[in-house]
Amino acid sequence: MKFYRVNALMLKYWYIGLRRLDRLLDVFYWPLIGMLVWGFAAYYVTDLVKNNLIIGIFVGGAILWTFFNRAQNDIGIYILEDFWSRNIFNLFASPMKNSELIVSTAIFGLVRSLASFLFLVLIGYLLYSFNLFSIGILYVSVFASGLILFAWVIGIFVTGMILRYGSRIQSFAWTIGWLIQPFSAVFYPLSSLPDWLQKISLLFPPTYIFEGMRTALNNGTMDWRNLAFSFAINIILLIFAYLFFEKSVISAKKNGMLIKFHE
Amino acid sequence: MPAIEVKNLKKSYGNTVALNGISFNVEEGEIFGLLGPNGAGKTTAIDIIAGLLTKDSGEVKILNKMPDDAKQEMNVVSSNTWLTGIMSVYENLKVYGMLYGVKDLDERIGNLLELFEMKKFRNELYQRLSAGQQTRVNLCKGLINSPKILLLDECTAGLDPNLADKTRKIIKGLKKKTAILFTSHNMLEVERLCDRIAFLQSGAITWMGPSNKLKQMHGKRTLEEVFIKLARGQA
Repeated sequence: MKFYRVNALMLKYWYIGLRRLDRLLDVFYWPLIGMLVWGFAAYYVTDLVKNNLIIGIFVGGAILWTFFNRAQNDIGIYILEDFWSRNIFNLFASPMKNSELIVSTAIFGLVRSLASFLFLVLIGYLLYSFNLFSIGILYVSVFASGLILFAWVIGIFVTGMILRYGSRIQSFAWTIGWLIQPFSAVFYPLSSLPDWLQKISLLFPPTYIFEGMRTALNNGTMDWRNLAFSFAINIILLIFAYLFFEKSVISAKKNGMLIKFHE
Repeated sequence: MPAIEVKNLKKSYGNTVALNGISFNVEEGEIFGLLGPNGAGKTTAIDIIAGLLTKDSGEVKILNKMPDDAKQEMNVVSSNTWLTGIMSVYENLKVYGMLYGVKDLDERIGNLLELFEMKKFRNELYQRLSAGQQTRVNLCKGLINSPKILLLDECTAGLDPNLADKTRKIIKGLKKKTAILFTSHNMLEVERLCDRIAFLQSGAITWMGPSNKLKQMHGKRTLEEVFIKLARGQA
């Protein structure tokens, strides 16, 4: 083994690291997220054990979270695949409209995430005797609809980012869901968070959905006003995300991103 | 009305000038060649005409429409791009045929695969094909919508002389119904195919007309000799 070659390779990784900001997330953000999620959850678990709700809250949260994450992931990743395969050029040279690209990936993502969702509902029932539908099909449908809207917001935003910056931000497409998870009260209630963090969490529509799920599991009721508010935020964000995407296409055509490859 | 109309087209990337006010027309039924050394601006011009790149200034009209509005009647084949590797030849062509709204698509795909001698590779994954086979599938994709305007950016790269010759004949046969803008580094190909050529250098057209006239003007027997002379600034 020659140390100068090890040195050369480390220098290469350092250069790549400098140009791939997402790699910094691996060093700082994810360890912090792990600490925060399980720290806040630990407080909450103590109460749940007393009320025998622990399985429902965690498995229900995991099922709905996976549903959201699958849907938002798919939109960006299908665009990335066109970058990787150098097909983005042909796609945008065709008469395809920007809105058609988004609608097709959104629908396809919805179908795939529904398949994941139903699969996890079944697994939850078989392994943990937890039936998410015990809170009622109406409630589950409303939660799922709210989450899919937010998944589209994130997916469209990520697609816009990919068109602006190319595949060099590809890990963003996989990780953005986890970036916002700690602020979405997925596995613990909003009240577990410090006051300043609660204010941020209230800007994220999933917070209202997961709070709603816990309320429904606890006492079979739903706070419709809060859910309506989350849908309103979703619609506003969806409009902004789409406008951002349209501007990103314009930017991609200006800076040549559609004709550059392996960026 | 010209099929492709380019007027005073300019494009820069930061301080680098890619196109410095080029103008040319491509008429219906014409094959027009854009020639020039690497980095002269040929691909940039094609990308702008294809609606994939925004111009800084100037005018581009395709069948009297803006490029984005003419995509239905246009197609582009570039040696720099691929189709989706993990899809078969047929699947790729089917997707693009559907994007262009082609009727009787299966028949069209069958005819194109036969024309380019690719029928036996119909169900082969695109990524498993050789470079020459991929080039022929790209050409099938370029013709899937029977375009009125065809942009071919070094589209015969990777073909052996036999297939390149067959492909040239196919391209020549298209010109009755299609206006073709063509770039290639193969000067013999350009001589055989193009009715007119424009020589691009550092983003500007330095000469435009029939290739015979260009050869006469420079006292050279082949276009390749003229190309080398012009590219080295010996004109």
